[in-house]
Formats: sequence, C-alpha cells, structure tokens
Amino acid sequence: MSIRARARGAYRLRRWALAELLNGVHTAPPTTEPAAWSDFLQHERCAVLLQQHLKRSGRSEDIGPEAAAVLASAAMRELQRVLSARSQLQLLAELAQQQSARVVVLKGGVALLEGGHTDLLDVDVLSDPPAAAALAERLDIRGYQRHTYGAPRHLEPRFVEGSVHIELHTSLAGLMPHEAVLRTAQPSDGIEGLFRPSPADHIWIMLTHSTQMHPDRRGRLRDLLLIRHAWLSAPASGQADVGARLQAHDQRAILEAMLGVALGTASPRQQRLLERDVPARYLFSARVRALTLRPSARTLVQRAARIIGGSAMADELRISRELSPDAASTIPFVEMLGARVPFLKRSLRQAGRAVGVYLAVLIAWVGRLDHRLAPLVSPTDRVR
Amino acid sequence: MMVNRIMTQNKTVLAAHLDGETVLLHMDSKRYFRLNATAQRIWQLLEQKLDTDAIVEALTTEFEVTADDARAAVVALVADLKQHSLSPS
Repeated sequence: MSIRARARGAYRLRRWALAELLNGVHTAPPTTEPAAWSDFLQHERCAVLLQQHLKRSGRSEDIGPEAAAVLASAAMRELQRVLSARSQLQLLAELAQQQSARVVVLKGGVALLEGGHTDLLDVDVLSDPPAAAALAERLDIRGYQRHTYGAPRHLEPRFVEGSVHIELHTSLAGLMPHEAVLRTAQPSDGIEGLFRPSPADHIWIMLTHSTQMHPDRRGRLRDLLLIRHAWLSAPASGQADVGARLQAHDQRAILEAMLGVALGTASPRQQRLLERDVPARYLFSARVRALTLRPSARTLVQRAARIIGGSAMADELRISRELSPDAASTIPFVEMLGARVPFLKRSLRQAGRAVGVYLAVLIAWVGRLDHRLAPLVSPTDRVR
Repeated sequence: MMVNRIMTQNKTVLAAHLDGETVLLHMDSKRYFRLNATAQRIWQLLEQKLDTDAIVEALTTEFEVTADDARAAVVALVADLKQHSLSPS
C-alpha cells in the first residue's frame, strides 16, 4: 500500500468516524487496509470510544476482522494509559491532601475524574507555584524521574517507568489567567482531594488549548469528543459564559468552527475551515512514519544531535519537534533570543524542526542501507 | 460520549469496565490484566461483596450455565485474582 493510499484511507476513516461519533450518522465503514486504521487511530486517539460505539450499535463485525484487531489493540493501549493516568491522579490526590493544596485537574484528566475513558498521554494539573514545587518534591522523594525540559507554564514533567507523565502547571499563559481558574475550581466528585475547573473554564481550556496551542492537531476526534462532553455537561450559564468569551476573542472563527464541529452544528464553511489542513497532516505524518519505522530514525537523530551538540542541542531538537515554539529552552542563547525577539526564536525552532526532518530522511536512508547489509553480518557478531 | 465508570475497592488495583471486557491495573507492579465478559461479571459481583453462593446464583440466572460450571468458574477466577494480588476488595 503506497504512503498516499494509506493516508487517504486513514483520512476516509476519519470522515466516517466523525459522522458516526459526533453526528450520529450510521454508515458502512470505508474499506481500507489495517495500516490505514492504525494511522487513523494514532491521529485521532478515539479507539475505546469508537469500539464501544460499534459494539453498542451492534456493528462491531462491519469493519472486518483485521481492522477489528487493530482497533482492539489500539483500544487496549488507550485503556492502559487511562488506568495509568487514573493511578497518577489518585497519587496526586493523596499528596494534595497531605499538603492541603488546591490541585486542579485539567483537560482530559477531567473526563477521567468523571469516569470517562478518554485517552491521554500525560496528566495535567494546575496549582500555585509553591504548591506545585512541593508536589514535585514529594514525587521526587517517591522516586519519580524528571524530564530535562520545562516550560514557562509547567515544571519539568515527572514520571515513573510504565506510567503516563505528570505535568505540574503553574500558569495557563496564552489561554487564560490561572488565578481565576484556581479560585473558581470545584471539588471533584470522582477523586476526593482534587479539584476541576468550573464548567465554563473547562470548556474554554479544552477549546483554546486544542485550537491555539496545538494548531497541528486541530479537529482531532479525541479533542472534539472531550469538548462536546464538556459542553453538554455544562449548565446553561456556563455555555453562555463561553459564548461571551468567544465573541470577544481574536481567533473567534476557528474556535467557533471547532465548537460547531464538536457539537455537530457547524456550517459547511466552518467544517471546511477546520478540515482544510487535516488531509495534509495525514499525508505528512504518513511520510514521516514511513521514514522512521526501521530503524528508529527519531532516536538516532536525538543521538546524533547529542554527539554533535551535547544534551542541550538534543533537548532543543526535541522541544522544537514536540512542544510549542515558545517553550523554554535549555540553551541560553535561544532564551535570550526569545526574550528580545520572540519571532526569531519561533523561526529558529521551526528551522530546527525542519533540520530534524531532513536528518531523519538521511538517517532512514542510511538505515535502509544498513538493513540491506545486515544479512552479511553473522548473528554472533551482532550479539555483542 | 463516556463509558462505564472505573471503580474498585482494592486500592492497589484499578479497573476499567467496558462492554464485554474489563482491564485491570495493579498499581504496584504496573501490570495490566484483561477479563473476558464472564470474568468481568464475576468481578462486578465480587465488588458488591457477594459470597460464592450468591455469585453462582446470579450467574446461573444471567447465563445459560449450570451451577457446577458457574461455581468452577468463580473458584478459578478467584484463585487467579489472588495469585496476582488482584482481588477486588
């Protein structure tokens, strides 16, 4: 299956799933290869919800056994992350109670507090800086490791092997004033000791975070489902509050498009606005994935960067690739540039990302060459 | 769209219940376990602190199974759960 056909198949699955999960339109799933299913699920991260939706409507077998196996496998990975995140939240609740701190769970974690099964890669919580520092210290005492990158909005993420990461936010810069979120947060019914944002703040954080902070993943089904759930569970006053914030926002059009698609009320123009970049994203990531399948070019690029420029350059490359262009850097020059001319820092980050892609292309090519030579090397030579 | 709640009384085990299966996480060992539909139902009855007789009775009512087979399934599952320190309460 060509890369283009695989991306096209994955995108067709997205259109189908979007109609199924958000608009309640039941149609036959598009016929495509399991690889396209895999790409679609990696993009949209809605395997558990889609699997349950198909089961409940008695159509699990409609997608065929191979696709069903891919879906089941993705759903199991998502569920493992859900359980892992849930265990991290329980620990945070225990620590928050010990230090009498107000710890507010953000984004996907809120759905977990309510018993949902929404996939998430990390647990985001907000507290004031002293409380966040104290929480971090307690996690460190319990043997949590820290990533070497921080950001203006959160401390260095903490993690233990086999668990999702914890991000301790001290600010919601770029989204909204965090003081207001902390002040109006409500105790969680799901896990005692934790708080959740007010319904309006929760919708707003989900909406602006997935639209402004991550423009590269606008329209992801997992985010749309979260926004939809947040909206439908909010009281009318909360919805009106969000409506008023939208009216005053300078990116109102894209935010309204995101909300409209999530609620199934988007106009054709709003749907086009949200969807216009999605096929290109599918194609781009299919190409990058094809490059990085064997060997792991991404790891090799990191290693190459580490050898050439040390850990600071490796971190910088990873931040350029994975985080916001405004995230803090471990390289003083980059930070100085960001403080004086933010535009240049962002440009440098974009250039770093592009260089990373080209390095990945080069390493993947060398990797393929290495793969062709591999049979000439005897097995014992490769053991040690 | 949300699905079933996560709930267990054993503080070292977390369970996610879906339609037809349950996934368990043992928080200390960080290992995951999967229960099929029958085991899921037994787990849920164990969570309600029912004894073996009550669980067998419930299973024979809900499934086409004899009391002996139901009892054997319950005993086997409880033994498996104990072996992995996964008992629900």
